[in-house]
Amino acid sequence: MQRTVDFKLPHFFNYPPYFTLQPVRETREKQVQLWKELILDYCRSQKMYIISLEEDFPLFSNPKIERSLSYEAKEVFLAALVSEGRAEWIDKNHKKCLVLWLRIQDWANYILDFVKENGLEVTTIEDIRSGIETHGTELAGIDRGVLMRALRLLEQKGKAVIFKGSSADDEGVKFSV
Amino acid sequence: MSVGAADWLPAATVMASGRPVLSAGEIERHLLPLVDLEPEENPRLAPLRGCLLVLTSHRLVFLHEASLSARALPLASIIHTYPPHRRHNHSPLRSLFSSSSSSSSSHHPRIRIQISLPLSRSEVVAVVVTCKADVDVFYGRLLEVIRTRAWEATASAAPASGAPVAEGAAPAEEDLAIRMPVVGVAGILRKEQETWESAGQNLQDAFQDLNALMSKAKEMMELAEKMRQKLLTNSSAQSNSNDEEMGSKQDLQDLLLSVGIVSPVTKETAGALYHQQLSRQLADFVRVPVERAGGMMALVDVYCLFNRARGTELISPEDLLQACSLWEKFDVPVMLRKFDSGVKVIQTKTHSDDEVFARISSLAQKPDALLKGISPSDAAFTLGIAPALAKEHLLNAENKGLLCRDVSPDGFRFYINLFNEIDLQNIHLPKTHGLYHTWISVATAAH
Amino acid sequence: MGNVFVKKPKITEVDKAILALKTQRRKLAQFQQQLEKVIEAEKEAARQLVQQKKRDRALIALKKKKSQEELLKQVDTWQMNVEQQLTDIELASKQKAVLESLKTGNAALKSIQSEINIDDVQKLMDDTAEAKAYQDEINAALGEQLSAEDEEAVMAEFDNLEAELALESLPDAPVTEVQSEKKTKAPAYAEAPAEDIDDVIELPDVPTKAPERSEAPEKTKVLEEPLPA
Repeated sequence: MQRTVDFKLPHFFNYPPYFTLQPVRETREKQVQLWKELILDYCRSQKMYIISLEEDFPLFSNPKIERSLSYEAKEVFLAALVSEGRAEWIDKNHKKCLVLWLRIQDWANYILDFVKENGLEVTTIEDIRSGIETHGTELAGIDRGVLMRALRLLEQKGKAVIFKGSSADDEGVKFSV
Repeated sequence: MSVGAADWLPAATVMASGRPVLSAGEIERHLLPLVDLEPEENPRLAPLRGCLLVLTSHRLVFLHEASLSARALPLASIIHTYPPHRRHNHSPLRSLFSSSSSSSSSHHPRIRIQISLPLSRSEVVAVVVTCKADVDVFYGRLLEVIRTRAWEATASAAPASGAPVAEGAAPAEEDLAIRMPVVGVAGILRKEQETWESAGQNLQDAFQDLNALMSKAKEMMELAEKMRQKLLTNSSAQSNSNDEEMGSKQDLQDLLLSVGIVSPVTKETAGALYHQQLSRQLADFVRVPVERAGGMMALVDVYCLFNRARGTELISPEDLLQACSLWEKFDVPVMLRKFDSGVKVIQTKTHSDDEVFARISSLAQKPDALLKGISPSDAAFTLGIAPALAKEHLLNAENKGLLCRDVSPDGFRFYINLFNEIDLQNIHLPKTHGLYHTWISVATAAH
Repeated sequence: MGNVFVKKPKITEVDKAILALKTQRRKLAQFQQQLEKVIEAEKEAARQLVQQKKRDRALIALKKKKSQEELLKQVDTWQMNVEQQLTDIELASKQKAVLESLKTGNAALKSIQSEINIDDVQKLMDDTAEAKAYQDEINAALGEQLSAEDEEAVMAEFDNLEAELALESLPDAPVTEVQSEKKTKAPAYAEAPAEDIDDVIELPDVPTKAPERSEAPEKTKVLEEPLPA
């Protein structure tokens, strides 16, 4: 994915204690809140869906003040997101995390609104992800898994039907507008 | 039999309880339940029989319990002592000079002492231990107290100028050298005996190094005390003293403080009241150093200081802890405090946590500290306390939410807690005033 | 609209066709991208070969580039066809939708109209006409009893009203007195209405009111008599 969007970091990103997991309970609660929000905002702007704990994630270190989060800290913050329902662990060992900066429900609503506004009744799955119609919207580059889950949710509610065409790789969805 | 007849010895007053009245600074050292005192050479001197012998730092008190009377032999009058011997190794001449009761004292150890009484030049008397006792221990103690010459210290403390003390000690030595009679057969015999016994003495000395060392230490302490007195009196005499003198006086006081305790409370001397007395003594002692250290001092430091001051009679850590815990019962201006990390400190009761927090807080809000935080050593420097204690204070402040920590390869530092200042709903909002705003302006200027 | 159950959209053959076309469109786009890359590569290769003076190899590269470009053109055409068909389908489906709604509208219209019986309408119109004619007769009958005097009175009242309206445009308090004057004057003016009215109309001059006021009480006394009649 291209990282062309410039993300504006908040001021406390340069505050060294921000990168040290605080032991005192109240202070830590605040710290966790700030990190949760920051992670969601960042992922949204950069269209990132997966955070891998074992790889470098640019948000987790600040070279300007020479500080970065410890493994333990990263786990704590991501776990907080997971318990809030804004993220999910992809693997059992908690090494990879799917960040839902929009919840599946929110995605479903977004798709439905988009489809209504643009009169897109029938479309391929791929077109939602990378077609010209969705260019510049939040849908561009959406993670396939997330998209399918959102569509299935819409299906459950009777707002859409996922179907296959004649050839194997035609996968599309029809919306009821 | 009473001791009335032995008027060649000064009388000693006895309390109704049967204990001898001690003078100031006089410390009991040993007790032997049943002894006789036999003058060996001079038949005109009446002996003492069946007395309780109390060895103090100043005298040998022979107490007749039945009649509640006592005679005291000042240690100052002892010229020489001979080690105890038990009849199997002595010259026949000795037995000729011994008094009539020698047959009955065939198994009893005798300790011969050469003394100088005011009326005669010198006499030899023997302390006959008629009870079952460890005579060697007693003898060791006797030598100790003689060597210590405690009576001289108390004598010289009374007058305003303590200068002649050292000189006072010297003539005694000389006297000792002069008083030794060299004339006559008795003299020769005595010299021989003396040589033999001094050799024995040396051997004993060799094996009593530790005792010697300890008594030397006591001497040092007393010397320091004398000097302190001297300084105090000197400075009070002069109305203006320049800085140098003050400085040296301060140094000396520090030295003295570290060597400070002259008569420590020990289990021997205080017995059942040991812990209580220890506790009180500790409270008195500890007040000054703790205040000088900023109102708080680590327990380990106190342990070291206290034991160093005591010099010889060291206390165990358990004793120290117990002594501290007894403070709750007394009204002392100090208290023991335990931090969350387990560190124990002694702090003055007037010490206020809030005041410390206020100082830390203002330190943490200085521009440098906003950018780089404060380390325990910075805090120690500014607050004027030990780094370990400073760290405790910082951790305490962190627990209260005043500070937060920053752990990095550079070390462990603390910053003023900004987390409370940040608005969760609007994390990009820099705020127009307040702590966060100040921090932001400092931080952006730096980067 | 009143469905209790969840209504899932049905997949029609048309939908499948659209899906197939869109998939194809995407694949063609990918193919185009690939071709473009190859073309660029060949161009670059040719350039280098020319630099290296390997003429024959350069020519081969250029030829390859050309054939790729031709292919690309073809793909472009296919792509256009696909797009066209998609557009046509969309258009057709929209037309169908319009037609459907027109049909529905028409049916509705017919259904409404069917509820109206033309005979009833005619009968209603006839009744209405009868009623109107009757009314006209009554009016005529009533109208004949109006005498010439009444006619005049009515005309005079009409003139009064006109004058009133003109006066109402003046802002002053005297309007009321003047009005009472006017009312009282009216019968007198019946004999010579024109002149007084002219005077009244010229009223803007304040002094002219005074004499009229003094006259008023006399006139009211004089004129009140005929009014009650």
